[in-house]
Amino acid sequence: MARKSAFEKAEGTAERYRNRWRWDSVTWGSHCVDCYPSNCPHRVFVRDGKVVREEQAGTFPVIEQGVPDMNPAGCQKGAMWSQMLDGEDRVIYPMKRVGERGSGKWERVSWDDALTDIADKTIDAIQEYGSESLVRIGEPAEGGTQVLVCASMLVNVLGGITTDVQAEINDFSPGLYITYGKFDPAASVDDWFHSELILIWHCNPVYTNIPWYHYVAEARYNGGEVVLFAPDYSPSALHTDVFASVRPGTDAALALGMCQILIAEGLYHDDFVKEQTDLPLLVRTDNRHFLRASDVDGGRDDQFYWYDKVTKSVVEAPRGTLALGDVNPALSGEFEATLADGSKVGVTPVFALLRETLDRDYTPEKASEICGVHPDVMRRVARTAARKRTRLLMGWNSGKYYHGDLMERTMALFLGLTGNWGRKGTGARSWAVGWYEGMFAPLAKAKPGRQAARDMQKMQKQFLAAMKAEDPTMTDEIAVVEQEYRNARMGGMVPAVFFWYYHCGFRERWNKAEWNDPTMKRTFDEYIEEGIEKGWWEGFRTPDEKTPPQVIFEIGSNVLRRTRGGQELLLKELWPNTKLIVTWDWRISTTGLCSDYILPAAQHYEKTNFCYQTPHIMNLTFSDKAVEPPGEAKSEWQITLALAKKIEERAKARGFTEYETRGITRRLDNLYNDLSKDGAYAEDERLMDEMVRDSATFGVLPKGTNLATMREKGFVRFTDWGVSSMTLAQASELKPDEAHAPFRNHTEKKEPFPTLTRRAQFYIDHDWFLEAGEELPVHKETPMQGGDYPLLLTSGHPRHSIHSMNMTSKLILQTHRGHPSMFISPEDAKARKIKNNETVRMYNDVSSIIIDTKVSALVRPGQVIVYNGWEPYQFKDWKGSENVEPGMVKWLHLAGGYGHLRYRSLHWQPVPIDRAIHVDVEKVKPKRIAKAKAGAKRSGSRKRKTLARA
Amino acid sequence: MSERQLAFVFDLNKCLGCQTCTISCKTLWTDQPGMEYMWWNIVNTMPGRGTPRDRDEMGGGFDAEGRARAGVLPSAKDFGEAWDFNYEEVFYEGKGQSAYLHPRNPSADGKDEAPEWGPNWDEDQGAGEYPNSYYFYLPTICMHCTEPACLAACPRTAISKREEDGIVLIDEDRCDGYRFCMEACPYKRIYFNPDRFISQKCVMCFARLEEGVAPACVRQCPGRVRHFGYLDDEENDVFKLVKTWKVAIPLHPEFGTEPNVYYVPPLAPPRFDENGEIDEENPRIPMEYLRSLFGPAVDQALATLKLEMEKTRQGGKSELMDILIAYKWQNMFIPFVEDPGELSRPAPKS
Amino acid sequence: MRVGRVDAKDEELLSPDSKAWQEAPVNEVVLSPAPLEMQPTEYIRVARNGRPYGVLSSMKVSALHNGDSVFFHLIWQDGSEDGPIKDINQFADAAAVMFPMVEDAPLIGMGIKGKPVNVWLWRADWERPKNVAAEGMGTTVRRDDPALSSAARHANGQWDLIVARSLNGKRAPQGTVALAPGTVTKIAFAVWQGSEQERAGLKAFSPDWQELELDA
Repeated sequence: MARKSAFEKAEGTAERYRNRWRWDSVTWGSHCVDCYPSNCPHRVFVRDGKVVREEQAGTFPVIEQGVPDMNPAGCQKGAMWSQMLDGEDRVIYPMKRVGERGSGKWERVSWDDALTDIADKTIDAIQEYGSESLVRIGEPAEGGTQVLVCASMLVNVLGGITTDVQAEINDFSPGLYITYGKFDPAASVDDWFHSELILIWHCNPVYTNIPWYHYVAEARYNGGEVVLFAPDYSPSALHTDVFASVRPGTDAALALGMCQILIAEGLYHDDFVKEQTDLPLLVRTDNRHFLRASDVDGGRDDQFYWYDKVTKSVVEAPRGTLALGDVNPALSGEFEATLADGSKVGVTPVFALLRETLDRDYTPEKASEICGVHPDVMRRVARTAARKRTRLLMGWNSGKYYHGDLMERTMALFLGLTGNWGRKGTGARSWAVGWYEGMFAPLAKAKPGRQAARDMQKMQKQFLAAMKAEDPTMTDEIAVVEQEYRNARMGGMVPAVFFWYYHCGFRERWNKAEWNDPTMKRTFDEYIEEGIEKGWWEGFRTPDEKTPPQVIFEIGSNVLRRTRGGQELLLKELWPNTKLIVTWDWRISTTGLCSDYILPAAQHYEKTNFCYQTPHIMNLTFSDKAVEPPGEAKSEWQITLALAKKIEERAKARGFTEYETRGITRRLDNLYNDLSKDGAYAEDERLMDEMVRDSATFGVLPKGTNLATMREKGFVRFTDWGVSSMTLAQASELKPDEAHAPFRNHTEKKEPFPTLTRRAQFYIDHDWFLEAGEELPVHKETPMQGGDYPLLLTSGHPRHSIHSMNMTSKLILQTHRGHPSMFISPEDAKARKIKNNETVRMYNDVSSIIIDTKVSALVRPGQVIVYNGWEPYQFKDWKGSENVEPGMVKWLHLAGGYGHLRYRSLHWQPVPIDRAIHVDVEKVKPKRIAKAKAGAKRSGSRKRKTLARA
Repeated sequence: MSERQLAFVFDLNKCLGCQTCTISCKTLWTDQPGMEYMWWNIVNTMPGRGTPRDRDEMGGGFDAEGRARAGVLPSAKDFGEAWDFNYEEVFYEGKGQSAYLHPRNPSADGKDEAPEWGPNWDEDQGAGEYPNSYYFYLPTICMHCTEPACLAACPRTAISKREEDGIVLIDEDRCDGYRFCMEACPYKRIYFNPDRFISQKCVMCFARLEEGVAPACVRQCPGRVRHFGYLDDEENDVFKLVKTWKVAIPLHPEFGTEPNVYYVPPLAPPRFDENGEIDEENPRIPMEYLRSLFGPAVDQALATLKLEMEKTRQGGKSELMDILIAYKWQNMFIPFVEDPGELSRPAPKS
Repeated sequence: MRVGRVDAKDEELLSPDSKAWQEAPVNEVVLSPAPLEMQPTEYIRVARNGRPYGVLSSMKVSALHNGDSVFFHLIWQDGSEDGPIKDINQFADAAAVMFPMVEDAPLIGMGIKGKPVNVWLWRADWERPKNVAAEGMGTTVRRDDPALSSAARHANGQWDLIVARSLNGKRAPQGTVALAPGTVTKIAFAVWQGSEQERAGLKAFSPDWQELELDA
């Protein structure tokens, strides 16, 4: 509907504006970053060979009638990404440090020189300490195929290890995992619209879900209620119906108080509880363990029992289905069971034990004393949830508390009692990936082409069939999970806990009794030793105490920013013993500044790439190459191939071409051909096309999908879940015209859960849990991590940046204060005579940092908030708030050998804690410590004369 | 007054304060020399000082008798300067951890002067006393007023209001940089370009409108906050929200310029009484405060909004709720529903 | 006002301390604020009501020509030097000389439709003055004019400004007054104090045309 119209006298002006909005070409782009769920399709506009702008595509169709569409997915970071292509922190030439690490002295080197040195040191490391001294810090900061595949492939083929992403970033939901045997239910975002009650809990979607928050607001207009549970009157409180202020770290008490109400008032969903949960299962009163077939008749250790009110007998609870059949299991009462030796033992349902605990410790009044939420508010929410489709809109905040597992177990319990999963608009929320099955296939299969893909798929199917033949009660999901437990022991990705324990200096901290929970009966060392002795962590204890990491590859991520415990610890403990640290990135991160090399990577819009995929969005999203990378920047795949070629060349020259890792022979003399499949994938385009085609072959994408079809539409909706554990964990049918709500297979098809008891499991009779008094979910106070200080430091993702990626962008910096801020309540500021925007010291027994205040009425007195994402180099002395975090892990997460409490990638393992750290804050004198020398060189608009930009 | 008027409705109950609108405008129009500090679109936390700071106390507009009111000409520091950052020093000068990246005011002329203000400086500071704190986000752009004070103030007649859609445009070739428009604009949405010595402001993305594409801030708003269309189009959301339902009301109607950005005023969760119980009687955001921003119409607007929300909560239907939900995103800006990605607009070769 | 003819180079006449200027007769020009009611928009009238402007009451003017160019030397008191602006709420000092393009072009309002005036406008932040054509308020059109030049100095609370223009009319933009030895016409003056946010019609000006006669 072109509608040209003159601006009469101002035509000269009008024409200039018209000419500003012109372009030579348009491509599809997205930002393949780990902002989760990412995947916002954009149009990228190129003019005079330069990306000038991008704009959300807004081309999503309506999926489900009566549900708003997902347009225009995006945020301010995505809308300015093009500005970062030539940002001040961009790297476009290989850089080698010439001073001490971190000294900021660099020289530009050729790719050949850089890769030769890196290849030689890599070979040195393998020769001296074995290939598991090559470490890639596992992080998905770059969430694109280029990084995920390319980076991991290089380390994999060399036999190096990748520390578990989940441990590194701790976006685990440990309590959901303990309950469901999976942490990753992830409804599509449009399913949020179906909710009648949204409990925003441990989440700040107004900051962190900018593209999708509208579904919360729209669900509310649609008749839903929105409640925020949080310590602070966070931005996500603004558009709610109830804001309930919770004392930090007491969410379990709040949830349990509401659970008590549900049971005491008879509001709980009896059928749902009996069918879906372990609450009817019988527990022996003598030893508090489940009654097992191994007790009763010497049978399976994972066969459990309930008491059938119809036949009035103790009977086996089926493992292969959640369907009750003719049984009506008791939820209360004490019964007698006969053991194999003929002796009798008292048994009672978990529900009875739970009720006893709730009535004793968590009446609303008692819970209120702990958490500070008024009992009537608890009653209001509990009663509503019992009637309404209720969603827990969680982020990954709870899991970052010391007792986050307990919080999440109680939150899941609240859902279970109100019948709130496996229906549209309900359930907990975490994350899932793993859908794009073709992503790893081109490199894993025997040779390029469709037949090899079909052969691969056939093998996988046969493998699953074999697993199910072993145990016919397995669903596909359970079989895949079981396969993952077994595969985990083959190396590659390993839990990070031993890396930290042996090599990064955390051992001392974790053993500090005063920073741990008082119910931790023994030292951390004793637990870790027991875990090792019992073989729970066999195969994962690497790099072990005898293998100091020699080479660290940091690819598209930033370990020195992110590590809880701070770069202080890593620089002191890990850095000096490591021979080579290489960062691949498109920008200068703190880790890059402390590395030996920074290898310049292509940015988004400068390479062909796909974003990782998630059930939140249900699409594969394409990010095309709109322009060539500047300078000598290369895509990650091209860097991978170049380095492989160089390692091969150097290995041959040095006559070291073969070695063994974990019994597997690895060869270096054909590395390039192994990776590129004899050059078939030498070009990014070809590799990316093969991934898409393989995915179509596997059936997860529509037939005929390829790179060319992706170029037409920019995204494509998945058509099948495939066979990854995280997609099967969704346990729902994938429908083209419906929003995705997880767990429907559990409620509708009665498929069992991948837990020890095959049900949503609230009772954990692992010895350590019994010892700790955590067999049932309870509330425990957050330990005094960091020492005895009056303020609690909480944090969270910022509004302004995806991790640290946008935090140093000049444009974004000007949309806030441009420097790190600590939110503090007016009350606490006044007590310390601290003003707004004043430089202060935040300190505890771990460390101290310098930061400016933001005195804000939204903060709960007693709380201070430093949102994450700042580069350490934006703080004085490069010390960000992560330095006052001790980086504790909860000892119970070392438990193993128990059903689903076993390690597999991205799942059960110790994860670092960073919430509710005890600190204090004091004035700093003189007031402005930031007086750099007058006339210090400013970047300004002045032309930069730097190595990176020369 | 123009023959027809394009107007905006910003639903504050959906606004996230994310500044995507701000950025979308910045990257499209104000990334040119002299415009570094300009944010034609900005979102402020309210209560707050606004952009430029204390803008509500800067005068301009018209009094109750329609007489022009004197206004203040803001400084660059009031708006927030475009800061400099010492990237070079931190990355390349070999200073290690003794240098850290931080913003400095360019006007300080080489001195390391820390900024005291910026366009979004008081973000999320809010007001009230915890747990009854309160704040909300308020996006502002040029209001393309029916009676533009800027137009009336300009001695050069460089500002015009287009008959067919009411867009207020500064003719940059006529503008002599006198800045009376900046003084007179009561919303303080006009900036001065010191490089070109002209005043500049939001142009309502007329170049996009000419191609049937909605303004960038409207089309790029991820919160789906912004409805846009002709104020006299009875089928349009804007008409319905402003005229039929009267839930969208102007900011500072007392400024007398008849602005064409309308706001669905903010709700807030109930406050707590001294016992920690929910207090449904007294609103969390004081009504007096809201009236000071939106005038007396805010009471009825909020009442209507609550009433209609209650309907859907009881399982009923509400046309108003359906409009605010915006099931189909494109319907928010009819008839400007074209996809810019499908357009061909080749740039003239320089 | 008589414009004496001297035998001096342009450089000398662009130097305020030169001998030629020391010997030139000085005219005292009376200035007054451009009337509030004459300000073109209501906003300006309201905004400056009670906020004085144009308070400079007089200036000293000398004028010379050397056969090739004409030079006006303006001296006025100004406590603050306001050159290139450092902030967006600042304004530069300025001064102007104005000539009628037709006999009865009105001074007040800067001409009128069909009866234009010509202004040579100097501003403290410009490299050279601009040539302005006007036919009434708000109609001014500024043009660069290579034949215009100036020299300015602010010292001891006083501006010394020399505005010069070639008498050779060939390169004159449209609407430029034609001056030549022997020309008799009229002239008026205006001054803007940047520190008082004076710009546009907010100025001190000479309310009546002065006779101007160039020596032959």
